Amino acid sequence: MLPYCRLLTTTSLCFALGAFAGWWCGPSATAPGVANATAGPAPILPGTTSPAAKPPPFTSAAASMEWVRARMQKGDTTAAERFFHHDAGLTDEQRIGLARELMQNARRMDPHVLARIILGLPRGQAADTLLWRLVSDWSTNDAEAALLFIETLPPDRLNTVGVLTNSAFGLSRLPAERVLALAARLDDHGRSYLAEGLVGFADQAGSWRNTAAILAKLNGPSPPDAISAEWMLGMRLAEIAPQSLESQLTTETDPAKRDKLLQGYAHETGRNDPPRGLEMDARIQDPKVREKHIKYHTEHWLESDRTAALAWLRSPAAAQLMDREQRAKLLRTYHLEAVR
Amino acid sequence: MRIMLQALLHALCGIAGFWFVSSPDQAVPPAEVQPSLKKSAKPIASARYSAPLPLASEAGLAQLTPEDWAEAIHPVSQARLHELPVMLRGLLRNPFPEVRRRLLHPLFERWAALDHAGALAALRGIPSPQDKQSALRAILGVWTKSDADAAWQYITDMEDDSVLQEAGIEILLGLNAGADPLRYAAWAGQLDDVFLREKALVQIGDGWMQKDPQGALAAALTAEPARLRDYLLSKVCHRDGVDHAAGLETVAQLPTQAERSRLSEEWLGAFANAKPQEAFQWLLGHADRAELQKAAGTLGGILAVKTKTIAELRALALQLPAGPLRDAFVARAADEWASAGRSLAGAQDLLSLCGPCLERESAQETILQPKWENRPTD
Repeated sequence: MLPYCRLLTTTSLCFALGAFAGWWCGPSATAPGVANATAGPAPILPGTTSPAAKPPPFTSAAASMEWVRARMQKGDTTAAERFFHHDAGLTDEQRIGLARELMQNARRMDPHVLARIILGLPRGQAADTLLWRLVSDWSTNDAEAALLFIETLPPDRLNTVGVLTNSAFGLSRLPAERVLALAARLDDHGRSYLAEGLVGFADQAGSWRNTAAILAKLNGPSPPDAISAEWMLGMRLAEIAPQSLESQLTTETDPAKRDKLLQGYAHETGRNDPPRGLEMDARIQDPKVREKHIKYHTEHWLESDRTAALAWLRSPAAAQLMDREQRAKLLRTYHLEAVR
Repeated sequence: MRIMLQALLHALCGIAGFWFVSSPDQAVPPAEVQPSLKKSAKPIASARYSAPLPLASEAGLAQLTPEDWAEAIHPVSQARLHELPVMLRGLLRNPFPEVRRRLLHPLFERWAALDHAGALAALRGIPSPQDKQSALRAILGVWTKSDADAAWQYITDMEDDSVLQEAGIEILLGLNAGADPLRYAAWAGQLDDVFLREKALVQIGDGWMQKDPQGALAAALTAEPARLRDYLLSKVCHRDGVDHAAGLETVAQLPTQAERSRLSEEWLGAFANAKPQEAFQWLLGHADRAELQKAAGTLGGILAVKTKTIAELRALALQLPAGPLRDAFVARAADEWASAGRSLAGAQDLLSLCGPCLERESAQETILQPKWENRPTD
């Protein structure tokens, strides 16, 4: 054997022995339980690790973002995730702060990377808000991919207004059968949130023909605490096509749906024209909703034309619509007494 | 000496082997990943590290990032026809929606210029509705220059994809309506689908306001359908170069108190953002108009952000006659002052100018919020 061949063989053997030792020591370097004790490290993509630079010590979210951008210029598109590994040593607050910064720069990020980061954050209001922003942004830019992501969310995160209403802007552009496949995974609340969002964005995205095809099969009972599609439809049409809404109110045969349409109509109308809104409020069947609307519109009127609103509050018309105590309370705010 | 060198070499090889398999990233056990998230950029990122690829190749386009996508504009817009399908495949594999949106435009512009029918066929195969829309925008941009009528006909006949059809109508209106907005508005006003009608009118209104905001304002009161009039009056105030005082005079001519109140608030807010002192002087000159109560509140809120001292705000407030307008102005200013983290004592002092009203109660609630407890009172 030539001396060089022997040298090559022995050095290779040393390399292999070193590698074996490394493999042997590797798992025990992270003691069992350590990874679990650190709240949910963000998942990493196998295979992208060896050439990846370790992130610098955290100083601020903005500085970390700069580093991420510099890495992305070199093609390292998953660099941001390494800040979220437990060995990067960030506190939960820092992780959330950095995730917010990344979301601010969402247009520069791969949404799949952002999704992994956000789902790895400790659960809470901050993480939920980021998730809602992500699905809103993602579905606006790529509804197809966003839908694939949304479908994988666990039920407690999926059936939320934040996810379903926010993503409806983008989802409304997808074929009805794709959206209905998502709807099949939702509970009553989820379907209601999705329907509300689809109607709410009907004059901005998608097409009513497509949206109506989805709504026709989503048409289940709305939970009492959810905003229904009819309520939202009443609200949108009040602004863009009140005449069309008037004829729908005439033709709607289901009293519950008709009342919801009217509630949305009255709500929106009264925001722009409180006295007209109050007239419509009087026609609302649900007594609790009627009372809430009347209070809201009266207050709105007082804040936009106090003189006229106070005169109305002391008139017989108000006495028919509001109880004495409610009127007296509002009038006392202005140091006035109720007339009767 | 030679033996020592050899020993050192062998030790180094051993250390290299150890390091190779136990780098920190690999020591971290990957947490559970949702299946849909596993499939993103991994192959792209790995390939990227190994060797740079030609920008205009399928793999090259798939790897572009928001940091370097612009380098591909030139090769894409110079591509030969047979290269375009490959480029499209690469681009559709790119994980960044922003990169796809930016580059689909030159790609389909080029495609439409070389093979119009082929571009339209390729467009229909794109899975993402937003990407499809980007491609359609590029094609229609080229097409309307040579044959706008044919482009309209194509969109009108597109019955199998109502979402793309409506996107096409919006794009065509954006490209054409500026030349004669009222004619297109008359056409849109006849659409039965109220949501499509709204989208069309918004598109026409936006194009008009962008091209000629003063002209849009001048024509707003008589514009038909009425929904276009409403849209123009509520949005044109936010355009550069528009005369806010003239706009407020236009709004004052509206028939109902409710419309005047709502739109005055919009206009005075826009005026105050552009020229706060002039906006205040305008309000002072019209302080006898009851419909300006809400607008006075909006102005107070904006001036609270733009004014340095509470004394200045007090002086402004005292110029307004006592009553609903002053109360609205003062209450909202005090609310904003406190919300912006400034002196609570200052906010209280300002609020003392406000008579009893709902606005005062609301501002008082803001000032007394427990979360301000640790803030110095002056």
